[in-house]
Amino acid sequence: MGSPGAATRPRKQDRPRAGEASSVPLAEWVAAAFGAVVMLATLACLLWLAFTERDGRVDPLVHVVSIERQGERHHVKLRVDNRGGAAAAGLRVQAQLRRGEAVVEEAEVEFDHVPAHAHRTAGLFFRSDPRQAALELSVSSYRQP
Amino acid sequence: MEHRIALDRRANLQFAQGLMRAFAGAVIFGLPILMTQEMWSLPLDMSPLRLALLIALFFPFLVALSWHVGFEETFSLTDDALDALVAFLVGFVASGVVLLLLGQLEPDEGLREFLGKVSLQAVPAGIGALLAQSQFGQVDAEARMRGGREEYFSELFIMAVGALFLAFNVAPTEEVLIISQRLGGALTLLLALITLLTMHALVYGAAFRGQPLDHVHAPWWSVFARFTVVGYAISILLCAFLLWTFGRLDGMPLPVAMAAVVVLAFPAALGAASARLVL
Repeated sequence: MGSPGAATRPRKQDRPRAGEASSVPLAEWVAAAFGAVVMLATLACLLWLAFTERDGRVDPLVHVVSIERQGERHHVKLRVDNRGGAAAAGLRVQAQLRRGEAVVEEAEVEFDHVPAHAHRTAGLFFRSDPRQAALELSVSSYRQP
Repeated sequence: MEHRIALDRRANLQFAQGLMRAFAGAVIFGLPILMTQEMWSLPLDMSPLRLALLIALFFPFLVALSWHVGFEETFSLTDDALDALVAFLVGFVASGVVLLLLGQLEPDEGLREFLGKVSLQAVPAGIGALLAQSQFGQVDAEARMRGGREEYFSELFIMAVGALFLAFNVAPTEEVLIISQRLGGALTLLLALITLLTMHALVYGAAFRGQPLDHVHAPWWSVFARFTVVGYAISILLCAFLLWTFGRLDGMPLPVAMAAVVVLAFPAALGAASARLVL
């Protein structure tokens, strides 16, 4: 490796015979072994992903991560998990605060991009306390990226 | 025996030095696309099968590149394969580190996101790692380019390296499609002709530089046919493959797709022609 000096420069007569590998420093064998593992693991994972994403559906699941009071408003942190094998763009999530039959408040958020088997988080703000009412979440639409 | 170990230590030290140089090359060559937004989102949408194909085809390409301009004076297929593996590892690690540094790899990202981003970036960074020797290394003139410039297929391969490198920098961007849609048929054709002419000027420039070549005394049409036209064809094929891999041609009718390929072939072909000057 590097600019070999006279001592390591391969000459014609140094051409290795079959099975001879003494000219390669140990460090290079180690690095190359790591490289082989990384490359093969990458290929294996990509092929596995390709296999599991054959169906190509968008399958979002929304749930509340946390609710906290911020002065006069309430901050609801959402997380959407796309369990499907296809990515979704412009994924819309609608939220309604209900007390009995009456809708107290509504909010909406759009996720720019939710890749396959990935999750994204977002936040909603309500004036009323979501813990004092029923918070209903639903996904309404998406685009193909 | 002691002498042998000392030599080994020295060889290991030299390898470490070469590794540092490879990292520098990977980062410097990789930075333009490591800092391109499309390269962060593209791997999330592109087919994992196409990405796997790109990486699988990339390995023999790296082996061939190592044979030509490796970061070591390799002299056997084993050495070239080892160098290619090390270059891929360096490209992979360098891309991961830089993406992490730029805040583009979140700790809670899934396998799909991590692997997509890093392995795609490892391709240009891996080329950079291998090219580091010819760019920054202190290699003497004879050892610099193997296979010899006289060898025709060697020259074509070097052209392909130049084409791939420039095309990879431009292919992920939206601009290729925007330009091709704005240009229209006539202007795209004009762009193709101008690309071919510029390429030929560069090929001629390269042909008359440096050591004498077998085609120096050949008539212009022979050089045009053997280098310019073939180099342009290689660029076109590589561009089509890259755009298809990135999913940019999906759902496009052939003429529209072809226009995008011709637009991308503009930088690729110039990269192909000038690679012989630069490398």
